[in-house]
This record gives sequence, structure tokens and C-alpha cells, in this order.
Amino acid sequence: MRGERLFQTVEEIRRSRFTDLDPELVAEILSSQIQMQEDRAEAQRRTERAIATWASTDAIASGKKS
Amino acid sequence: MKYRKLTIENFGPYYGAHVLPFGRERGVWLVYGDNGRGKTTLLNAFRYALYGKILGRRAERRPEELANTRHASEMGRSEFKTILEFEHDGVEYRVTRHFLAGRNPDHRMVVEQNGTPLSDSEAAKVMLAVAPESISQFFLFDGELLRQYEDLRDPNIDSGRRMRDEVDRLLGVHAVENAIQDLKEIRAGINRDTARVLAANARARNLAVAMQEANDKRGALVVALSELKSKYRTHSARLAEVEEALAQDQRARDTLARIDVLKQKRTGLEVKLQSALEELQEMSPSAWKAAILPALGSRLHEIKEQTQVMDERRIAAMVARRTEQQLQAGIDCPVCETPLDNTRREEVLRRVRAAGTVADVERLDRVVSFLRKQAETLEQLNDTGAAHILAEREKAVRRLGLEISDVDDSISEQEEDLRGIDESEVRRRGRERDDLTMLLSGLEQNIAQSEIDIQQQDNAITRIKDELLRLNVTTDPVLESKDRISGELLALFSAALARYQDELLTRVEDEASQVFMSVRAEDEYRRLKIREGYGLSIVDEAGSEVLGHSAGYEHLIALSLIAALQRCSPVQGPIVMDSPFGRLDETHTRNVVAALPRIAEQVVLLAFNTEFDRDSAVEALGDSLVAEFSLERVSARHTKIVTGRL
Repeated sequence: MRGERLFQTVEEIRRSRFTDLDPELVAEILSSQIQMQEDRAEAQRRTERAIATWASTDAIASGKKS
Repeated sequence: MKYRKLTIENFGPYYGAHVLPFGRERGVWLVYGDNGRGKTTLLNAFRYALYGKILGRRAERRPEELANTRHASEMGRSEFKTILEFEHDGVEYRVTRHFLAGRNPDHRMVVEQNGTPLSDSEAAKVMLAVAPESISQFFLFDGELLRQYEDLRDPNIDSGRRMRDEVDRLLGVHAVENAIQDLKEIRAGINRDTARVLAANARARNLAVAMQEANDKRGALVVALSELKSKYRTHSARLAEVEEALAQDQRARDTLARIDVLKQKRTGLEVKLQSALEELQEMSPSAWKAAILPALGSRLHEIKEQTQVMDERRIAAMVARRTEQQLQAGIDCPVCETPLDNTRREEVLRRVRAAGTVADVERLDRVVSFLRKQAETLEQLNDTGAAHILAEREKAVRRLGLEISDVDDSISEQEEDLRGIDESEVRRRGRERDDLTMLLSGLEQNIAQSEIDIQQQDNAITRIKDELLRLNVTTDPVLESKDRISGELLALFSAALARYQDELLTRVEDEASQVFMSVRAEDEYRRLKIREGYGLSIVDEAGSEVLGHSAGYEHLIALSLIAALQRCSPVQGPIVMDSPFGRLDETHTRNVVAALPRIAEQVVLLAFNTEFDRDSAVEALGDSLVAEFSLERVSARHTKIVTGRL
């Protein structure tokens, strides 16, 4: 598919070296960064929000959250 | 993004409302129009609809200039409207922009998402996301400006550097770089929170303080770096403006350069003239000789003739005198020795005396002697080499004077060409460009150093974290999770950026070569070769780089690159091309038309009626041709968009 190579490259590396990272989180951050190239503050906000959401889920799943 | 419909009202020559419908999601739309009918204005209508901006060939234009004058005179106000309907990521959008001229011009934008109007801030955000202006030149482009792609081949010129930057943005390189930057900042925030939590832990307090200090240092460095980058952007934008203005002044600069060369030549000639004058001055004691030299020759000739005449008369007188003496001595005729009687003797004596007396001989002796002395003096003067040298030097002075006069005439002609152009302003801009280039170079070094300093603080923080791990001190589980996830994301995007960039040049080269091979007519040209920075060149069948190919092939290379970028970019969208065939012949034009469907899913081609052969274009496009429109002249202030070709 046209223009998909960037996503494919990131996913290939994730699958081989960063298996703990959720592919949806990675794709969400990459999409936000591509879409919000003209609005850097919004891109960072979205990235931070996505990490916070996944970190909470991760902490709960690991039974670490008190 | 897929266009659905463009509506324009009183925009440029488009008096009243006009609609350009896009009935399908894929294909090519042809819009024909003669010069002045509004093709470039139509391109600007798309640009205004998406970005609220209007561009001329050289700079941004004021919207007031695009208000239809007939509408303005009828209604007493200058205004226009554009409505662009499109789909993006499964969402339907309708963007309405209205401009009303006045002391405080009124620009209004309403964005509807699936039929629901958005707030101003939401609308602005959506437009930034769906239509990034920084890469607009790859989607809305003027064929006459394709030459700028040639700048990519020169790694040293700023316009090429800026274009490479825009290409990187289009291809998503900046998106990954931005992700890395954002993750670093997010991790700095996590580190601050971690240090705060650890400060309460007696075992880790010292490390927490060290971590906080490193974080603070890093924060200060990031602020400084941000200021440096901001300055860099400001100066870089100014440099772009100055270069644009300088490009407009190209003719003036060429003329100024020619004037400079002529002035240098004049200075050189003046030095030579001065030297020639000095040499002439050295010979001034002999200068009078040179002055009389032309008259001297003829006078000498006259004197020699006179001498000869006088000498002949003198000899005749002397002969007569001797004959008289012989006759008086009683000797017979000294010539024929005939005896003479007294009568005849007296007669001969009378004739001999008439031929010359003693006084005559003496007088003629003096005259001949005088004339010979005169001739001798004049011959001495006439033989003087210095007079010739002097004459040569005078000639050199005259020649140099004439050359200087010619140069002065040329300078006057060139200066005439500069009339109306502020020479000092052109020169000032040239100096400003040089200053800015130097300033930017300094800023680049400072930015690089700041990035190294920040990396050092990051390394220090990593070492502290390793120490904390060894101490087995825990903080907050969510914080730890954030730290782990953001750290892995940072490593992932850093690795992805390196690999993506490694592959990108090869991919762009392959895609551009494919398109190029489909449009080129020269069989010997086999592919395109890419250089660092996306500059492309042609490779022939022998594997050699083709140097000095035609302007038409430069055009084809630019079109091939644009197609390749579209195919490699994660940002997709329709393309509107204004007169892209400027430097192409009939064969290549037909090939490019046939390749249009491969460049983007939707292509709107704005072309002259005579720019290509319509029948062969229709045949080449086949089913990809969705519709044809013509720009029909009603009056100078009124163009209509009509379906079909006129």
C-alpha cells in the first residue's frame, strides 16, 4: 500500500525488538505525529496522553497498582 | 484526502458562483483555459480554500487583489467565497471561507465535520491535521516553478536545503524526529516526578537530588536550545524571503555584476592610460619633433628637389663661365672646334653670358650649399627614432582613451537598464543574505553543541537510574510503567528513523525511475540515480551519469520526483497541477499525461487549450479521465467554468 512503508518499518522493529510495546500504542503515536506535524504542542499532548493511558493499563495488568 | 466539490464565488475572474464537481474518488480531471482565463486563479482557489492564502509566482498576494471587480462595482464591496468539500480518513468535511475587503479585512472560516460545524479552535486544529501547509507545494503546484527542484542537486544552496527539509516532512521523517523529541521531553517530565517521589526515600535521597539537578540542567539546556531553534527558524524564514527577493532581482544583479566587471575593466584601463601618459611625459623634450614629423618629410622632399634644380642651374652657369673664358682667350668653339670670326664670337659670348655670370655661379653656390645644409638638418630630424616612439606612445594614449570611452558607454547602457531599480537595495539584500547565511551557520554550530550537552545530561540521568535499580528502590508503579514504555518507544523510534532513512533514498530512486522510464522518449536513458538530499540525475545505458541534458528532461525529472514522493509519503492527497508541460515537446507531454493516474489518486490538470493534443490525451488516459472542463470567457471580468471542452 502506498505510503505505508514508514508504519511497516516501525512495526517490523517493534515486532523483533520491542515485543512488550503494544502495536496499537506505537501506531497511535506515529499517526498523531504525522497528522499533527503543524501543531507540535498537540502532537506532544496526544503522545503523552497515549503513554499515560497505556501505562495505567500496564500497571493494573501487572498488579503493581496499589 | 479526496475532493468532493469546489465552489467559488466572485473569486478572480469567476464572477458569480461556479462549481467544480469531483464525481469519483480516483482519476484525472482536465481543465482547459487560455492565458488570462483563470487557471492559476483556480489553483489559488484550492489554496485559499485549504490554507486561506493566495500565491503569486513570486510571493504571497493580498486577497483584495482576487475579489471580482464586476461584483465589487455592482455590490459596492470587494468579497469572495470558496467552499471545499472533501473526505479525510472516512470523515466528510466542508470548509467555507469568506473574505470581505475593508479597512480591517474580514477572513472567516467555517469547518463542518460530517455536517456539524466545529468551533474556531477545533476547526483550526482539524485543518492543520488534514491539510499541512508546509507540504502544500507537493499537492498544489505551478508547473512554471518546477525549476526549483533542480536546487535539490546542490547541497550548498539554502533553497535546496529548505526543499530537502520539506521533502523530509512529506515523507514522514520529521514526524518520527518529532516523536523522538517529544518522547525525550515526556521522559524528562517522568524523571522530575521520579526524583520528587524518591526524595522521600532516605536510601535514595542523594540520588534523587542528583537526578533533580541533572533534570534542571537539562531543562535549562532545552529552553536554550528551543530559543536557538526559534532564532534559527526566524532567520531561516528571513533568508528565504531575501533569497526570493534576490531571485526577482536576478536581472538587476546580473546587470550589477556586469557593471562591476566593466568598472574593473575601466580601472585597469585607467592604470594603463596613466602609465602610457607617464611614458609620454618622459619623452616631452622630444615632443616637438613628433609634432613636426608629418610636415618634415614633405619639406625635406621639397628642399631636395629645389637643391637639384639649383645645382643643375649652378653647373650650367659654371660651364657657361668656363666657355666664356675660353672664347675670350681666342680659342675656337670649345665644343665643335670650329674657327669663329669676331661677329660670331661676339654672338656666342652674348649667349654664354646670358646662361650664367660669375655672380650667378657664386649666388647659386651659396643657395645650393644652404639647401644642402637644410636638407642635412631635416634628415637628421627625420631619422630620429625617438620621434617614432613618441608617435607610438601618443597612439597608445589615444587608443586607451577610446577604450575607456567605450567602457563608459557600456556602463551607461547597463545603468539605463537599472533605471527604476533601487541598486542600493539590491546590494543591501545581497549583504543581508551573506550575513544571514553566516548567522545561520553559527546557530547550527550552537544547536549541535546544545544537543551534545543535553545528551550528556541524559546520560547522567540514565546512570543515576541504573544506580537506583541496583538499590532496588521502587517509586510509583504507573510512573515506572511510563518510564519503561517511553524508554522503549524512544529506542524504537530512534531505530526506525535510522532504518527508514537508510531505505528512503533507494525507494524514492526506484519509484522516480519507474515513472521516469514511462515518460522518457530517449531509449538510452535507463534510470534515475538519487544523491544524498533527493537530487536526481539520469543514468544512460552505459551506466554513466548524463550531464547537461535538456531543460525538458529537467522538467521530467522534477515530475518523476514529485510522483515518487507521492508514492512514498504517508501523507496522501489530491494534486492540482497548473501548466506542467512548459518545457516538454509533444511526445513527452503525451507520456506525462498518460502517467498522471500513477502520480496520485486524484489529479486536476489545468492546461492551455494547445498545451497537448486532446485526442491522444483522452486515449492515453482511457477510463482514468473523469471529466473535462473549460474556462470560457464572457468578458474580461467574467470567466465561466463549463463542462466539456470548447
